Amino acid sequence: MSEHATYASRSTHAFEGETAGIVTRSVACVADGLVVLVILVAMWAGWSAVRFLTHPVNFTLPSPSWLLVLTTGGLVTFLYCTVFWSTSGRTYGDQLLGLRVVGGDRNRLHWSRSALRAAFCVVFPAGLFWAVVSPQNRSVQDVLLRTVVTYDWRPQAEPGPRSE
Amino acid sequence: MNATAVPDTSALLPVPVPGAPGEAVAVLHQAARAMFGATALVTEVVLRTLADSAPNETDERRTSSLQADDVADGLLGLGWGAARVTVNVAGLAVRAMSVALDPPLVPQKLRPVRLLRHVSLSWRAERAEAVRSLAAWSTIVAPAAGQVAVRLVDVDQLLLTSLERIDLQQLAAAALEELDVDDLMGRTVAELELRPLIEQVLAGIDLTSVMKDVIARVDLEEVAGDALDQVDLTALVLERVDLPRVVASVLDQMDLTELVLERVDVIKVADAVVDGIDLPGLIRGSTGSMASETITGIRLQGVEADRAVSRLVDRVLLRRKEER
Repeated sequence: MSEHATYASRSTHAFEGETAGIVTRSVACVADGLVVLVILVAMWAGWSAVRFLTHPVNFTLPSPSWLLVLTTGGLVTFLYCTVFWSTSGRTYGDQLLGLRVVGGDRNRLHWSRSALRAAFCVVFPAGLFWAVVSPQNRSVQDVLLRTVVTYDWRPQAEPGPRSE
Repeated sequence: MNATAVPDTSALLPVPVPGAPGEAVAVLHQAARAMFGATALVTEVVLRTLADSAPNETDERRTSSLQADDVADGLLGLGWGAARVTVNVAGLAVRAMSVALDPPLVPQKLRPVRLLRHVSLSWRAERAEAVRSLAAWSTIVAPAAGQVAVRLVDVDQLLLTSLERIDLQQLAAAALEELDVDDLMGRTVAELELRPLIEQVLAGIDLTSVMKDVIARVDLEEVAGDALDQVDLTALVLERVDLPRVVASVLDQMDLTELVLERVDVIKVADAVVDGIDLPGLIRGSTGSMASETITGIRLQGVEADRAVSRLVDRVLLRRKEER
């Protein structure tokens, strides 16, 4: 709590450092989903370009199966979240809504913990809605992995040790 | 008439001794010469006047005029000889008279010369008054005499002859050496009424043609350059010219926009301005500021929505705020 107090005293707004609610986190997830969708479309376009270059005569647009789309989407989401949570602590959706994913000690997550949380989010996205009834606005993933999503409008994360 | 050429002849004349017999003889000589000279001059003038005043004279008349001159010269020569004889005789008479006036063996008081000396001293005493009287008389008589002299003398011919014999250049140089020309000009200018004189001169001159001639003969660029070199034109303009008024007047008479569009490469200027401004940075900053405001709005609305949901859930679950 002392670190939290210290952090709160440095923040511009009084609510910064508090755990974020379901609305902001849901909007952030939607924004991240759009980002993943854009990535998937880009991959599909690249795949199409490669196919056109390799088979220009018999070229047809690729039509991947839903399984492939979901698998690829899940994999992209996993990588996307792992990389951003372990580096800046925030994905693009978190950046947009002013959120940051940190450990219980308010430090940046280790990449392994970020990977676990990302995998959990991909496999069980509905765990987010536990934040509605949780007194501390914590999702299932937060409870199991002892992470916290806080309001943080600062451009960069507070320097410090990574939370294992 | 050359002043420098005239020798001082006073030293050559005998110094008169009052009362001496030689003095009287010399006086007689000089008087005779003066009278003869005057007579010859008058005769010469009369003869020349008669000869020149004859209208449409022919060569024959000229020949007769020359003969008359010869006759006149002959007569004058005879007169001169007679005068010399007369003077010599008069000299002998004067010597005899001097012996008579100062006879030897006669007491001093009884000598006639003493009476003459007495008369001479009286004349010397009264000479000043006599001269003044003569001067007054001359003043009265001089104008009439001058007119008579002018009538007798051909003034134009006299002047021409005089001018031929005078070295005017040397005379003018000598006069200029003696004169203080600056002082003379200053006083002359001070005494003249220049304005009417100048107006009269200007009225008689076609100034336009004169100025054209002057402009054609003068290297105006050189003159203007020399004048401008001696003048601090910038300081002069700043001191004497109402610059704001001039600039305002010029700007009123000009269509500045049209002038700029006509004379200025606006595109080039705009490129230079754009190059000088960090326009991308400016746009980035302004759009970044707009984006930042939008994001702040979204974030604040998100926070408010979170709190509203939390309050709603707390009410539904009958949870107090302190339990969170």
